[in-house]
Amino acid sequence: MERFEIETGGTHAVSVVYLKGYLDAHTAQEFERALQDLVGKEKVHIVVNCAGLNYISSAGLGVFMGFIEDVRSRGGDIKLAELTDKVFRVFDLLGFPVLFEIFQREADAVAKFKKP
Amino acid sequence: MLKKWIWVILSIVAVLFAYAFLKYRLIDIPFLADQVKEWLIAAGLVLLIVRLTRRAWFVRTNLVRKLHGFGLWMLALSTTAAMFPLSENLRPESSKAVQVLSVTFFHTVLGLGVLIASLLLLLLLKELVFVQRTRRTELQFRILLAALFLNILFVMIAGPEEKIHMPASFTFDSPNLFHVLLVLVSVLVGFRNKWIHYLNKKSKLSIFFAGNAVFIFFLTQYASLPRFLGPIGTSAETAVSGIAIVTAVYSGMALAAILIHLPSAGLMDRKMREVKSFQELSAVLGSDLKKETLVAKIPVLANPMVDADIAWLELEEDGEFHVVASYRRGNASMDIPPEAMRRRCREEVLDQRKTVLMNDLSKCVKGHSDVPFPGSLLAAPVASQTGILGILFAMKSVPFGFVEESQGLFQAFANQAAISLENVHLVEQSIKQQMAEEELRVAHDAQMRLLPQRMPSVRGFDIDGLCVTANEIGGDFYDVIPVGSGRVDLVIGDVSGKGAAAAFYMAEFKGVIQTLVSHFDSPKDILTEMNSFLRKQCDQDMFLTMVYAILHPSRRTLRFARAGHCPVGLIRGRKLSWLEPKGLGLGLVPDRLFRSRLVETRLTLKPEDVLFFYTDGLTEARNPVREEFGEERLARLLAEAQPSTAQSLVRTVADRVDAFTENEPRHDDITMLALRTLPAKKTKTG
Repeated sequence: MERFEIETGGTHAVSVVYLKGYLDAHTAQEFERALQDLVGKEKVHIVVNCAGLNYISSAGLGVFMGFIEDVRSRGGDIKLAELTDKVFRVFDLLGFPVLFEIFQREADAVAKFKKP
Repeated sequence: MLKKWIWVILSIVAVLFAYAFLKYRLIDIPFLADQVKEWLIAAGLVLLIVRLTRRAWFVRTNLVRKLHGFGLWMLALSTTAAMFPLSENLRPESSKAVQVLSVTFFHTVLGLGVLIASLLLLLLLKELVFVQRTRRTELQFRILLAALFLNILFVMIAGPEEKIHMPASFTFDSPNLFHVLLVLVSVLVGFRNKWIHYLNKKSKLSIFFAGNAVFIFFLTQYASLPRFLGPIGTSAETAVSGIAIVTAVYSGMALAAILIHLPSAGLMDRKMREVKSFQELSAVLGSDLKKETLVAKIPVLANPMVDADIAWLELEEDGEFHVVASYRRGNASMDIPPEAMRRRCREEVLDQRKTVLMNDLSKCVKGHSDVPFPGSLLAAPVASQTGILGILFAMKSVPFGFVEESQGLFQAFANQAAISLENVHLVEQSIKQQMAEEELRVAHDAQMRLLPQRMPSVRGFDIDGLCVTANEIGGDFYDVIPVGSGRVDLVIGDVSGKGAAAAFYMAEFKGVIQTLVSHFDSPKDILTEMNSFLRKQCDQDMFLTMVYAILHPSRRTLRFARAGHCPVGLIRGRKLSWLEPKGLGLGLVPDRLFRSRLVETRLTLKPEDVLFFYTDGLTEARNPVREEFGEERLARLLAEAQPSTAQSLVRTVADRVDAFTENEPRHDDITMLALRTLPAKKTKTG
């Protein structure tokens, strides 16, 4: 089993989800639950910090897809920050930059929510 | 068993008849003195008693029936004594023939009957004394027998004048040391009445009253019992009087003990019910592995155990507690209390993590005075090692309905329930796993059947593909479709997610593609249609990456588009270039956006050019130190490969990846598809 950790932080206005390790078909559920939790509490301004993320599989990418429309329909957004080159490559191949805003630094992503 | 009885009766009959005949000189054996005959019969009697009491009798008779037997024999003996009140009546007075007849009847048959009944009483008494026996019990019973034998010995030595004088009115006429000893030992043995604990309240009551009647009757008659044996001999007389005294003492003490136990009989019954509840739960656990049945049974067993009006079980699911089963005693008029109150009790249990006893709910549950709820409640956490599975409640409509002592038992029961639930859970999981493995196998087979079984031969080209499946279904697929009129379509794809669902989608997409090829002739159109299909038909979090290529073999032209998939490698000479035209994964965005972002690339292939398609399982294959095979390693390998055939290329790459990953388990399918343009000269001959 690959190691995967997830932490949620941020301020009241913007939630930050920190992903660490391997996000694959097995660990995707954990990520899904974390997002479900936030959306359930109407916390739809979400930044996903991928600094510690070593690997993301299609199932992991699917989690982003599964939530983005719901989050946007509630007036929120999911923004990505601090992707490693390798993980960015996966996002990029799939064309995610068209769908998601991707930032070099978490602070920029958070700031973007404050003054869109 | 029957043989044993025949043996006993025959031996008793033989001994007594022999004795009677000797005694009344029906057979005259002159050289045998009376004294010797007396000694012989005494020895025979002692041997008989020793022999009989050594064996275990009435093994299969239950306790109540043993008690009934004991009482009935006491009754029979008393009745016999009452029916023949005067020993004088038995004296022979008339002619020799009548004498002989009356002697044989009264002195032998009656004497025999009384002796047999007495011996049976002794055996039954032994059974009662031996309930839950210890070494000490056995020793005490032997001492009792020894006291009995000592009395016989004493009478034999001292003569008939010293035989036991039955204390008819609880006084000893002329007590001797051995009589006193016998009574004392009887009292000692009288304490061995543990069987009383195993009687329920009802039996205790009935045995107490019926027993007293029999006991009093026995007391009035037992003093005249030995005289039936008198004509036979002093030893038999002594034995019967000894047994009668022991019986009287033992039954008297037992009745007194029952009287003492009567007030606590209800309590004992409850204890027994508690034990039974436990046993039943283990039985349920052993026999039933269905969660529903087990859950339903838990309150049913818990309720009588603590004598509650209502019991219910709440199980945790996603942080919420729900009542899953309840049991109400037949005549109780209580319902499960409202959620607000249950929450308050739950919090208490979760806080303390042990059984909580609320003696007066109206005081305990503050802030809910609008629901004045009298009564008392027991609540125990049903906890396993992994955490609290639920809470078991028992409730009574009266305050202080439960005793403090019930807490430990209730908790023990809840623990047992937790183990049972955990077991059921484990079994369910293992069944699920088995099913999952089976599902996986079926999906594997389906996946393999979806891949092209044979590569179509394409003039001027050499095509080969390979799919190395992972331990789980990865959702990879490829296909080479001869469309006709000089067109061959190549497709490679990867469905997001894993497992049977991915394999199922694969099958569906293969069908969709088969339909689309005949209607559209550009990769861009086909992929846009696929995107449309995915958007409409599939889950939101499901997507697909794909490279779609259309080859015109005669013109050696190839058009392809990449929908979020891995780049395509073009090996030309000793150089590798990655072709990565823009394109989004299928199912991610609406058709218009998808189409506007999709770039179609057009290539004219030269002889010995190789196009290499793959899925991310290849570059993401990991070695034991978590290093990925990666695009760079693949690029180097492809540039240096110099393949002579498409097949040799995919083989080489597969072998290299295998060597790289060593024994690491594969997480994803690895799929490759190679298209090689044959050298110019070969096209002529081909």
